[in-house]
Amino acid sequence: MTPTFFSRNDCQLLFDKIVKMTNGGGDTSIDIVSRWSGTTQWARSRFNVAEDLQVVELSMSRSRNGAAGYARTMRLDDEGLRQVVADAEATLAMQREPPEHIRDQLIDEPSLTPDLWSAPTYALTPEARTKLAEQLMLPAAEAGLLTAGALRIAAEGHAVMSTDGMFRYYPVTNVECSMTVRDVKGTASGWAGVNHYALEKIDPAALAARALEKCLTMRNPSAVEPGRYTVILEPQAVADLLSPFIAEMLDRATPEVGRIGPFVGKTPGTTKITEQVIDRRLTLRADPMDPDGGFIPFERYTGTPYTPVIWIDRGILTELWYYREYALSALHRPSALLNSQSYRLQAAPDVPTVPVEKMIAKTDRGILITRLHGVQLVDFDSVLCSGYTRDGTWLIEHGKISKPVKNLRFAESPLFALNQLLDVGVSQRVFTPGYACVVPPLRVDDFNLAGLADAV
Amino acid sequence: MNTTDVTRRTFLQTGALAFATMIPIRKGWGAVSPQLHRDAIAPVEIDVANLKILLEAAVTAATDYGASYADAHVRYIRREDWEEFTWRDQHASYPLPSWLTKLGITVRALVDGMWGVAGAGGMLTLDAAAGLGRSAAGQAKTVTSGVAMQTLRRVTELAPAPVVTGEWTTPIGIDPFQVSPEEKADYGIALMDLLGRQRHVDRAELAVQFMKEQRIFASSTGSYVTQMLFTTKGTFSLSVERDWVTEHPAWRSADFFSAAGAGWEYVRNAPFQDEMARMIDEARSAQRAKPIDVGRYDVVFDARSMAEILTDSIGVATQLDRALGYEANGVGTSYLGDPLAMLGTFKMGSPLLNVKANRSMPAGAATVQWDDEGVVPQDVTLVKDGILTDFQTTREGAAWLSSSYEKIGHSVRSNGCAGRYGVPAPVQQVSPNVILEPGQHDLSFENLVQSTKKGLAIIGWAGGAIDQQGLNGWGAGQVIYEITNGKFTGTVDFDRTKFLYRSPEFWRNLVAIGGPRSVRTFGFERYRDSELDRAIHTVSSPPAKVTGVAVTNLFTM
Repeated sequence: MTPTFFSRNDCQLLFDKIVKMTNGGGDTSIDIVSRWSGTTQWARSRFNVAEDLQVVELSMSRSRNGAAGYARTMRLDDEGLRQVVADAEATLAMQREPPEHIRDQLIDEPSLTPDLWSAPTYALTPEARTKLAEQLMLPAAEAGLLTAGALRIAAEGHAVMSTDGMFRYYPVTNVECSMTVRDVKGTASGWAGVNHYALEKIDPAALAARALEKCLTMRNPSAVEPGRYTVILEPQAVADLLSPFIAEMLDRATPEVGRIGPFVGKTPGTTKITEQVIDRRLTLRADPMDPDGGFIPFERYTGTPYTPVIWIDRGILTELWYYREYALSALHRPSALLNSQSYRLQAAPDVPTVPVEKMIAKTDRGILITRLHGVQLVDFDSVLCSGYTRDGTWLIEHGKISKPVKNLRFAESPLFALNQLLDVGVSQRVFTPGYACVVPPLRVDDFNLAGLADAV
Repeated sequence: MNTTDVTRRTFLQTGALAFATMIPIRKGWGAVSPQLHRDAIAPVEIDVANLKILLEAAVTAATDYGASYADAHVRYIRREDWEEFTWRDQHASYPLPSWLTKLGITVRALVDGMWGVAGAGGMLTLDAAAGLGRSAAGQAKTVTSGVAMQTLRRVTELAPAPVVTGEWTTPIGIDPFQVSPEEKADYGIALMDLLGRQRHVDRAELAVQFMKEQRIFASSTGSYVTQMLFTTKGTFSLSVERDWVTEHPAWRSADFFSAAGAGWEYVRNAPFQDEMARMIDEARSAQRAKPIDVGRYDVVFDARSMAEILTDSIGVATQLDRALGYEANGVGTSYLGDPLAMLGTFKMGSPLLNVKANRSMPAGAATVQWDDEGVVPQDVTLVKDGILTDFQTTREGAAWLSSSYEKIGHSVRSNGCAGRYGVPAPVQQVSPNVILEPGQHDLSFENLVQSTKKGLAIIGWAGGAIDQQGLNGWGAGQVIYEITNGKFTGTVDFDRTKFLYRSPEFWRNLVAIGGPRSVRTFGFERYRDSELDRAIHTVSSPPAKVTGVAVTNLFTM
């Protein structure tokens, strides 16, 4: 059978072949993401489908004197390659070369080398994947409940190459495991999930147990009055609230070109860098080498390295991300500061963390939230967004979980929540396929649970 | 204009040339660029004869390897993006087109009631195609021979589907891939220039995407069909200068231009010029708006906002895979949680509510001759006189409903909603075209307003969301008029006004519905696992009036 994804050598051969097909001089760069994935899915406590997919996506750029043309393809046979080269060159031919062009060669700066490859994960056979899925289904099935879920194992090769001399290649493995347990009548639902680079880094059985327990304790939920509550957001809920806006919020160009955004400074064209923007007990950072939240160390398409960055240090905004082009034109320096959208939110070093059990014990009246769904931006200036709780929501009274409650619609800004902080727990990996997010549970005051949304 | 905006990254991340170099054209359009590589715009089509051999090899390998049923499917997509033409800073600019090719083969095999799927991107050799067939069956066998617990194994039944053969092409006026980039650029630039000469227009944007797709399906029962599908989609919006008193900016996007199963004519025939003045007026009228008084209102929704609510609520809830929990760990379930009992009895809304689905309407974005299981989709009535009468189904879904279908004297047959979101990708349920049937009386939007004593009229759509069961939603219009005694008496702040709804109550409070002449159609995209892989459908709706709609503002929402 064909190889499951492209090796370094496969990428090199393909690149050489494409370069030979080009016409008219100039530079060529290509990006190849090749991916194999094996997935077992189940629903209604029965195996649903087992699948094996192999995909290669190639994108290329042809550039000359500052003009560039781009095209993408999944066809790697000769005819397909000729087509993609013709596509890129057609766009290039339509573009006017700028009168002045400083050749801005992206130097092949070294990139970091995080450990993102797991041999045992890659070696997992479809039979073993099925066996593992069976173990995840059994507890819920034996309890007479309906489980739906997916276990996905993947391996990817990421390559960026250019006639400028860049050559980057990084192989990674991936595991995504998530499951939902519902009662037969559809009146209770529980969920748990995580993604990581290696199977040995996650505990699937614990996820299955957690989803089951959540479903069991969600039976017969009562409606609570909407309003502002002290809430305990489990790590997944924090990620659901933060992830959709992490790129836009931390974009330096947005405030500096005078547009809207939460980090626009008081005078036009400035940012809130050096100002306190969230609670001082929290730090937001990203590092490809993060042992639990590592990610591919360079950007797709350009190969620009990701460097370790602290976005928010003890509540103070310290950096916003920008492209190399922006750095050259606005900041007069040659290097980009990129946002991979993977991140770690954590308690600052000397801040004691509080486990969720203790947060519950400290809460006189509040709501415990598993995850959020359908989070949509309502107002970008304040990052006010709206969405729904899902798969596990409980009322806390006098330091104890008193009963399950029907789901609620919230209208709140993640920034407001990060400012109304009461307690922060230990950060852990959550379910954000494609990204590595390490997030703590948070206890937050005055969270706006604006209305009842009784979907289960 | 800063040419350093050109980055491959922004281009590729947004799926098109969102931030690519804008070439300023100040007057006239003669400057549209010269030589083109002709082969880039006239894409090669796949040799269907060779593919037949390939697909048959895949299917045969799967059945030889133990599959009782197998099918194989090719998607070959050629896409051209123009993102975007603009009027900004007193000049028009046009984008460069970009092209994308997607190709993938997916095989699925049914072994002892278990599905196995194998797929690969790109062109395959005969051996590799057979390998996919074996792999699909092999995937299924990991369950059928590896899992001892019978209760964890499903028994898949497929509703009967006749063997089909043939070819079909979306009926279109003009193949967009036969129209030169120069002509497209000229058209876009001319439109931007025209807009720029209108009073009050500050900025305008037009994005267009053309897609041509070959879908080829072969099954172990002998079906073999090839289709050539065309989709054209785009967005068009304008913003007006800030109001000199309130300093409010305002914008309006075109409701008449979205997505359709059509060619270049969809762009050429779009009433940009006719609608321009109305769009400008509506945007301006929203600039001196008063804040909303939070409360319950009788609301006249225009066709666009009605279509949005329809597809988000009933459109999602009547997808059978969701209703039965097959998507419980994915996009969600449905408030129609007991489909077998609800079919034929459940009250979806007022007796005025009639909802149909098809994959046959002319220019429908989900219109096909055969779905991805080789089924000729039938036109179905999902809701009749307010009662739930059917679900959106696939072959497997129809079989799940067989007992309920028998009770109401319905034959067990797939409604033809099988499709795919990606390439290559497993068969999943996709949305058909969804139709809110107009009322019998020839009522217009204006008539609905005239018959309203006190209320609001919501025009256009400015975003919204719904929960995982299609049950509780919120939305916002682009322009909101206050109605007093059948007349518009000013606008309310569209930016801060949101309405909330709960599907069953909302549809129960449907009290008036526009007539056949007030119907409009809109294209919608929906994705499942990844935001990159989408399926498109059309929603057709008249305007309608709903009583007791909860209307709130940002601060109390």
